[in-house]
Amino acid sequence: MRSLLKGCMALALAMIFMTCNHGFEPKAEYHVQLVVFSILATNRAIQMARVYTTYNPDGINPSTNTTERIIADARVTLSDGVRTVTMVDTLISRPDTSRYRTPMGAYKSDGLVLQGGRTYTLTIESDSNGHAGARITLPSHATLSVNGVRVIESGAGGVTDEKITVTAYPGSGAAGAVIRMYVDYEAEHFGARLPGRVEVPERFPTDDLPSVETTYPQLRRLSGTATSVRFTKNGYQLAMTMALARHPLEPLTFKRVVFAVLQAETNLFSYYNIANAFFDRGSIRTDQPNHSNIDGGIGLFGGFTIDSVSYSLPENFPFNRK
Amino acid sequence: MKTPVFPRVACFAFLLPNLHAQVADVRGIVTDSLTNQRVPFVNIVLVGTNKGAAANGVGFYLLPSVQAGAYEIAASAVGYERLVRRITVQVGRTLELNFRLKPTAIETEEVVVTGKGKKELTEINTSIHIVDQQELKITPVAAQADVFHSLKMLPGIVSTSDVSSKFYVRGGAGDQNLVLLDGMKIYNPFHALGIFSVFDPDIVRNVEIYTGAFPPGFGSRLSSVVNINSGDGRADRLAGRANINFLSSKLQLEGPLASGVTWSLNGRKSLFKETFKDIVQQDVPVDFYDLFVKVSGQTEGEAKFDLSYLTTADDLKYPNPNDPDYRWRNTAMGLNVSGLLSDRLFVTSTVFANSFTAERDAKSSNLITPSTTSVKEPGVRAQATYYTDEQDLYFFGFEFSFPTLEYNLTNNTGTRVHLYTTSPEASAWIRYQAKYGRLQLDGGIHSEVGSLFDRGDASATIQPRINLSYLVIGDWRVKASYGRFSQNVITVSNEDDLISVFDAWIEVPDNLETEQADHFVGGFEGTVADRTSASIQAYYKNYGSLAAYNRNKIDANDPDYITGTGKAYGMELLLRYGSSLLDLYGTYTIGWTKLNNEGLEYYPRYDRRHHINLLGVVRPFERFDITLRWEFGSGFPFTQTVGFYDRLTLRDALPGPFELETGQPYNLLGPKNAARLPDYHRLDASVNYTLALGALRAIIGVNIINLYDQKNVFYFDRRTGQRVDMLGFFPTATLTLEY
Repeated sequence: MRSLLKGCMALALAMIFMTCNHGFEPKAEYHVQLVVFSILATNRAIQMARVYTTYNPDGINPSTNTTERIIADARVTLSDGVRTVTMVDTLISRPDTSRYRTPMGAYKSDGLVLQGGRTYTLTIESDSNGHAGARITLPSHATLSVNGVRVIESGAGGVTDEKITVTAYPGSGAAGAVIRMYVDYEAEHFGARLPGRVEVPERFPTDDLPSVETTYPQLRRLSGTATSVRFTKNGYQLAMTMALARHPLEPLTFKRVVFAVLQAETNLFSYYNIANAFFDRGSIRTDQPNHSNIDGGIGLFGGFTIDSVSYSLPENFPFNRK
Repeated sequence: MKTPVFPRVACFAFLLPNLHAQVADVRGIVTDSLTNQRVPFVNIVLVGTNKGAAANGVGFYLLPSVQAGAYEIAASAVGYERLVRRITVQVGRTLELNFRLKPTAIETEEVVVTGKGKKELTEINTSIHIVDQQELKITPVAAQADVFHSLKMLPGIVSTSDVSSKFYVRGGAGDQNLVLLDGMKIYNPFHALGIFSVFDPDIVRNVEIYTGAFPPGFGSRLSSVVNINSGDGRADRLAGRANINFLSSKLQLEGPLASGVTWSLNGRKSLFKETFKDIVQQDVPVDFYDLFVKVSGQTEGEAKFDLSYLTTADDLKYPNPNDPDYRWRNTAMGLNVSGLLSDRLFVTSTVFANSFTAERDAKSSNLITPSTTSVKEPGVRAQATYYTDEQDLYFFGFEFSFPTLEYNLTNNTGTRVHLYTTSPEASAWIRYQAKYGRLQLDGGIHSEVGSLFDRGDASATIQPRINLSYLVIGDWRVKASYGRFSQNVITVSNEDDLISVFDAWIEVPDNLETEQADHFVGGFEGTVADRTSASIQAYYKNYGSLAAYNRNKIDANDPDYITGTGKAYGMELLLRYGSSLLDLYGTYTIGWTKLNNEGLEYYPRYDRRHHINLLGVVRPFERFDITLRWEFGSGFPFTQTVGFYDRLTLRDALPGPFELETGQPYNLLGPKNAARLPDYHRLDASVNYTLALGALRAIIGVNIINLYDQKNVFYFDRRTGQRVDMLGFFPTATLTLEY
């Protein structure tokens, strides 16, 4: 029995000494990666690309990183298959300086007119950080159909829950679309005419439903040959009231109503949703997955097209303020 | 020569005992001679014959069709003196014979090593362990014995931390364990932080643990069953027990209420707040209590009833307004009635109702959102046992319950989400146990009828289960088991959390199949030397469907969860040695668990490759014992950080200037769970001395947790970089007074 006890003690001690305290490394070996964000937009003459790198602060708290890792030595090109333009680096004033105080680095292209249905390639080559790139195809043009033009022109009075139904027929290559309704106006400020725009909400609180939040149309997945949204005359009037409230003292003239459909290609559609909790108000997921379509890096190269129709408002439009 | 299976089945079909042979039945109950409590699993043998039976869980036994004549009949059980009585069996007259067994002196018991009367060596099932109260109390723990901490000694059971009672069985997730107390389902059987389970070992008579391939009658979970049977109150006198230690205090009272009726009451209250601050310089603002009340009654015959009530409460309240507070409440009530319905038909029925509620109060936290969850489930369960002439047993029964699950949360879009489901669960089963020479068979069908009506899922509805055991040589048995299992409720938490304080129960989403698994188990077990037994088992679990994150979710049109698959396989070795001086217990498990989510294969965070448990109990003097326990576990998987980048949300970019956004820091993760935490190991020791002071018994104990102060990683907070270790060197003392 004693020998058995001794054996057990020896075994236990051997096990203890065999296993000492091990270190723990929560981070893997760090390899710097290029981060690229570029969204091609047909409503802009100048296309932009943000290019920076990942970072790896001492410890694990990312807020200790106080400098944005801009890439200044990169050669960034944008090509439509026929023409390739080199994007030039530029600095942009940073609106939010709570984290970084330095201006934002970006690359911009000028002179490449985007066309729906065409394929674009973005390449980034950096001597210090390698190369990355991505390719997308912009959606081809959509058409819009508006039902309820009479409501637009009358503006005030009548039945307030009358509907304006806007239907978009998307082009090929569109993964998602959002139809928006804007009211353009001009406010007179010390003799100058200042243009302005308000968006018409899709839903808003009413006397009957006071708890409803004010919401605007969201990017939605395209699943058929058409997508539509309905605005109410009430919402239309609410938007114009908001415009008047912005300029409480100035004369204000409502000029036109614009219906615009924004079509997002697949990568932009996916990234936009995933980075914003899937815009799923019913989700019980608490993770925050990543999404990237950049070969050799991280980020997004996406694009959208905008097609619109507009309706001029009469000079004696009842909401105008003299 | 036994009759072929078909005639035996046909005989069962008509429930016709053999009325014409020169035989009669012998039956009765077994009780403790001191306390008058029923004694389960007692071996009853007609000496000199091969006729014998085991008493069931309420101490009832039946020897069918005993040839008329005079016999010696013996009853034996661990912890009791063997009792032999002479009987005369007369033709056609059932002999009612009750046994009153005298307990052996506690100092001479072999509490850890399996004695010859222990059930698991003879049980046909491959994966069953039966642990009694003595074994529960022997494992060194943080101040107070705990049911689940003791279960983690068993092969195939792991937990992810010292301070958690949560456990994972043979690669199964933490929500795949069915926990029953006197037939009542307990959905969250853990006190705050999991340091204790809600079951005080002093209320437990025994625990049946099925780590796989469990028999028909147990359903609705994929991995394991922990079936806890509480003890009855003493019938002879009023008795009491009080205990105080660094973490909690408790009081137990029991005694007779009326003729044939006993009661028991057990209450515990935490003392965490004060002691943790003083001993380990940690502020752990935990408060809990639990209360268990039981009233039991029995007639002169076999009939018995038990009314059980459990209520538990936990509060975790942090003084910092940015740290969320948590609350848990469990309530369960059940009425068990058992007895003979006819000469050979023993029925056990349970009516139960249980409720679990939990709340997370985010207070001023920006990182945590408020949430509540609840489960309320009334139900009824009944099982009948039919004893055939050939000593075969048929079990058949049903369970019907109405679980209502509720989950309220604020999701990542800032929206309040309310999930509410209520759908009846119904199951029925038939099970057959027989012996053919050296071969023993236990098989049947478990049917989850609810799945068929709820989802039209036929594959989960009919669940065949079979256990075979063949006596090869000596007491060495070769065993094999197969079973199919399904599960319709799951807990949700972030898959990447290392510790989950708040688990919400939901029904498997409608778009998914019921979770389903097949278990295959094979093994050998027997005696390797004098007083030394061994068991080796191999298992393979195939998860045909599991609820898994939908990695391709893009927007609200896509479901949160999809159907994933998985597999777990491994081997377990168990060695036991026992004598009056020394008990040794050792287990080694090697296992692999892999989940597959649409082609992405990864190890879940509870996958442990190697796991060793060694336990030694030395009793050098009377009433004095020393216990040492050493545990080793290879590291759990985790996902490494590979860097950070500033991720844009593009909130104002459609249309708008995306380039003006600075972005939010985003933690870039490497391959999922591809790295491993450091190995875990720890040595615990305890010394107990029992003093007899007249009618009073005092037990003084000193426990030392983590004797050599090993720094085992508990979790790592990715947001703050804080590493939190598990329990370090932690000495505790305990005083128990028994009357």
